[in-house]
Amino acid sequence: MTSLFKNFRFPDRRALVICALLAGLAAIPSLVGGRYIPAVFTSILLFFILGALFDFMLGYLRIVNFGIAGFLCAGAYGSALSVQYFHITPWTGLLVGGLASAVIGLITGVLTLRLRGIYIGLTTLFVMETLRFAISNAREVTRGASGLTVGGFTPLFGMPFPRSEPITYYYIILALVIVTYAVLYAIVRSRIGLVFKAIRDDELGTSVLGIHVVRYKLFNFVVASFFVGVFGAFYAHYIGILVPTAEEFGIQRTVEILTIAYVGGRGTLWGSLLGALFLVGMQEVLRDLQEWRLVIYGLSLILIITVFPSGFAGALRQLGERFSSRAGKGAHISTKGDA
Amino acid sequence: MTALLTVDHVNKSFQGVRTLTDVTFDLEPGRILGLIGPNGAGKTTMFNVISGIYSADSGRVLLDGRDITNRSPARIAGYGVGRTFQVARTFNDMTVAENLRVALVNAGLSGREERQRIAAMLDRVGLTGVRDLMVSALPDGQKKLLEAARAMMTSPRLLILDEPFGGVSAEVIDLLISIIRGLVREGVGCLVISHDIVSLPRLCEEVLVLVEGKVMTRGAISEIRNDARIVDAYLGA
Ligand SMILES: Nc1ncnc2c1ncn2[C@@H]1O[C@H](COP(=O)(O)OP(=O)(O)OP(=O)(O)O)[C@@H](O)[C@H]1O
Ligand SMILES: [Mg+2]
Repeated sequence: MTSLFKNFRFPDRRALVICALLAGLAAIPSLVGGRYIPAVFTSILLFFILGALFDFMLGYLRIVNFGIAGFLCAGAYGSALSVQYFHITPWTGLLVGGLASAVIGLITGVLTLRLRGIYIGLTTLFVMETLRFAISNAREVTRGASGLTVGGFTPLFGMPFPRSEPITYYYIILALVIVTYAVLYAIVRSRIGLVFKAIRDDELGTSVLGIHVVRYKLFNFVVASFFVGVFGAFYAHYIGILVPTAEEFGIQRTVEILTIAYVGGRGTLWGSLLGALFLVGMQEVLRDLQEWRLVIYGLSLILIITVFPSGFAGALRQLGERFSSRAGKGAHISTKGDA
Repeated sequence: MTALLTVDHVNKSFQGVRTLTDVTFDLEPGRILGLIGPNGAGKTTMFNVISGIYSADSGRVLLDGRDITNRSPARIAGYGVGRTFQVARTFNDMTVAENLRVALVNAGLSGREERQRIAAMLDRVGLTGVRDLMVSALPDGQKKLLEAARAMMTSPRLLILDEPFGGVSAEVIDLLISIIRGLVREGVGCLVISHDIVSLPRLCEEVLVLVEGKVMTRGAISEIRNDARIVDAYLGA
């Protein structure tokens, strides 16, 4: 088995684990069937990838995007409104939503990425709230607080996507998550990712090597914004109605995403899957405590950060290291570079 | 011959306190100039102005006749200025080899060329044995050596080194001196701050003495050693 995979020259073992995980994620909801499980798994995937995107910014370049829900909002309304007014398909809407969010990301990034971290956080927060406010007030176009109804995905290659069958939407998001994760993973493993690490370690030490730090931050930020927008667009067509509330596209949503990234473990991307499993799972178990959701998020954030400062991913890695050093073999693998 | 580096009447103050006053000097390619002076004389500040980390209040810095005053550090590095810091700024979260790899990202090399260049540099500075070690595990002396190697990886035309011998073992100092001399023979210009009065004369013949932000004198180390004022100012610190 291992010798077979050696010939594939996978970047590392983690990639294999991820493939196995994705296969599991693809199989379980369709095997279980029904409507409930696919819907829960859709939530898990959505929060996982948003957490990973948050982490792509925070964990790799220390860019704190408190306005991430605003980019989700830009993607959601960008797609929903283009479908309604320009009659594009929701599939094209995914791209339009991504681009709408990327443009806002580009403008925000150009304005703030040369400043210190706290200003980026505050500006993104401001952008998010401004966007939400604008959407609430442009009632003629967006229907404001009464909510904008959005159609579902149209048939693709003869395959229908009825909302009554959540499993079909689950496959859409699974495909989107795989593509997005692959892109993020490829970036993080590339020279660009190496520069991200260098910048995180020492910005000045990086810039005296002729590396334009702000350009790398901008690239990171715009890529993340684009994908957040794509998932915003997916969300719009999945959920069917958009309301510009704080729970949907404001600080509360940001806190959920941020919690998943922190609980999962920063700087790993995949850690967010653990974060999403934990938090979405807990939310499903404690369904009756809806209003307490944020409190629960806050408490679990504090608890987990105190017990495992580097999140579930960090705890798992430590466990793995302890295990492999006890086994004697393989301990050297973890310290070995792959250049 | 036009100078590689020209520093022309540079002034710099911090909160009204003059740190550099009318500093003027130049450096030709293929030459090494030592920069000495007591603590707080403004040596590091001078380096920071040259490499774009601080902006000069007035005056100019030219590289090969091109005005680089107050350009960003990345730009200036791109023009061919490589530098190290008094306290090494290595990437401690990475391996030794990866540190060197970062310096090559703008070089547009293929993966194979990149690996060859890294291996060659590791070999040259004697860090091959620790290539896959995390830099955080290295002693400070090796971090300084690695930082110098990383600066050299960018193939600079001007190399400016802030206390390259600090905390570095005797053998590594020998190695560093021979590597720098080799680069200088190829035409690189080099500016070196050092408090190490044993090692510095082995590296360069000429020094610039900076005292209280002003150029006090420039000359052969052998002469300057006999100058009572400088012995007072420099060694008395
Ligand atoms: N960023 C800064 N803000 C305020 N003052 C500064 C700053 N950088 C340098 N200085 C001041 O400028 C003066 C010169 O400092 P500098 O570090 O250039 O001296 P130096 O010659 O390198 O000394 P040393 O031999 O100790 O390294 C000092 O008085 C220092 O306090
Ligand atoms: Mg200094």
